[in-house]
Order: sequence, then structure tokens, then C-alpha cells
Amino acid sequence: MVNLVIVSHSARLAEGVKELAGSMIDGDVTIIAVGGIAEGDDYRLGTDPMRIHAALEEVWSEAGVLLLVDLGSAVLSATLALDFLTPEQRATCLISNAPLVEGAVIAALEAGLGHSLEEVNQAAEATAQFEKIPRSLNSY
Amino acid sequence: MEDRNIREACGDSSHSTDVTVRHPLGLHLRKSKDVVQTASRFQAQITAQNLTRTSPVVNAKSILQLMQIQARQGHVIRLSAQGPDADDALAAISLLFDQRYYDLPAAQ
Repeated sequence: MVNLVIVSHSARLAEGVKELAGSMIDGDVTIIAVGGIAEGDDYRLGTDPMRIHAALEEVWSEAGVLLLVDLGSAVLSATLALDFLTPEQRATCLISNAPLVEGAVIAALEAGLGHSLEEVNQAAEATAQFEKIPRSLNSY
Repeated sequence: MEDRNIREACGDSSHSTDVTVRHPLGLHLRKSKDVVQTASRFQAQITAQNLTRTSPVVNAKSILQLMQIQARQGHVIRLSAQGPDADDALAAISLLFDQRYYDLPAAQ
């Protein structure tokens, strides 16, 4: 099954997204949260390519890994982390364009259903167009 | 009846059933997840429509589409299924809306 790596500037945000997305899984999907930059016993805000790379090594499988990222340097660090992989590993890793929370929740569900990396990512990215409050429905 | 038998023999049986959302939070995220996971176990094409809101008919195997019918407590949802295992699919999904099983996870 496709596994997920959650990349956020905030360690607590990444863990929270992992917790929520993890509640959607019916299957053998692994989610790793990589948030913040280690500083002593704690984390400060930021993203760390080496920790993202370590997470990718840990969860990589032939089915693939989808990376869900927040903004800015999360994308850069994730891209850098991919460059450390072997070409074989790199070929089945994808950085999703999805919004972090919605994308991770949907990706976890889809991955657990055994869908392919492309299908999981498509479902996650569809959340960008998702209307939380559909205007077309009656309002009661 | 004869028509129905012919349709079923062709694997083209279409059925529907209405369920009422009982939970105070409506058809919430994790309940929708249970619906998707249960629906995905069946070959049948399964749709849901919020009759109370006269929503569009959506794919019950898509959680985003299920969230968009905005089902609240008391709303009536029409589940329809088409395919060889349509009846079983509807029975399994309907059970998720049964108050007695409401807070239990989907059967595996």
C-alpha cells in the first residue's frame, strides 16, 4: 500500500495531521510526521531535508510514497530529500499539490483502500477544489 | 417480477433504500469514511442522495462527494446500488446508519 509522509514547519502540526489522517485508515498504511527542526529536546519551526529523507527511507515501498507538505520551504526540503533517494526509490515518490490537512485525510483513506499512488494523489489534490459549504444546496 | 429476474440474471439489478441520519453531528467525517470503506468492498456502483436537501446524486465510494451532500441529523439519504452485489452492498451500508451500531467501526 501507498505510505504517507507529512511535512510541516511545525512538529506539532505534522503530528496532529498524522493523528487525524491515521483515523481514516483501514489497512496497512504507514504515516510518518516530519515537522520542524530539531533543537535540543524540542523542535523549532522549519523543515529539515535530512529528516524527510530518513522518513522516506523508512516508509518506502514499491507501491510508493506520497508526501504531503505545507508551504514554501517544506516543498523545497521535500524536493531536496527526494534527490537523496536512489532512482528506483525516487520513481515511486510524489510530492502532492494537495492542501495539507484535507489532502492527508483523503490520501490516508484512499491509500488504505489499496489504490495506486496516482489515484491516491488525484483524490488528495481534488480537495483543493472541494467546497466545504456547497452554495448550491438548500441552507437548512 | 419477471423483468426483475431478467435484469438480475444480467447482473444489472438496481436497488435503493432510504436511511435516516441519527447522529447529532450528521454524516460526519469518520462516518463517511466508514461508508466509503464499506462501499468499496462491493463491485456495485453505489450512489447517495440527500433527499432532505435534494442534493445531487453522488458516488458513495468518494468521501469528498459524500461530504458535499451535507447530511445533518434527521436528514434522509437515498442509497442506490447497481450491480451483481447491489443488495448486499445496500444492506451493509444501511447497517452503518442503524442507531445500534452507530458508533462502532465498519465491519471488516
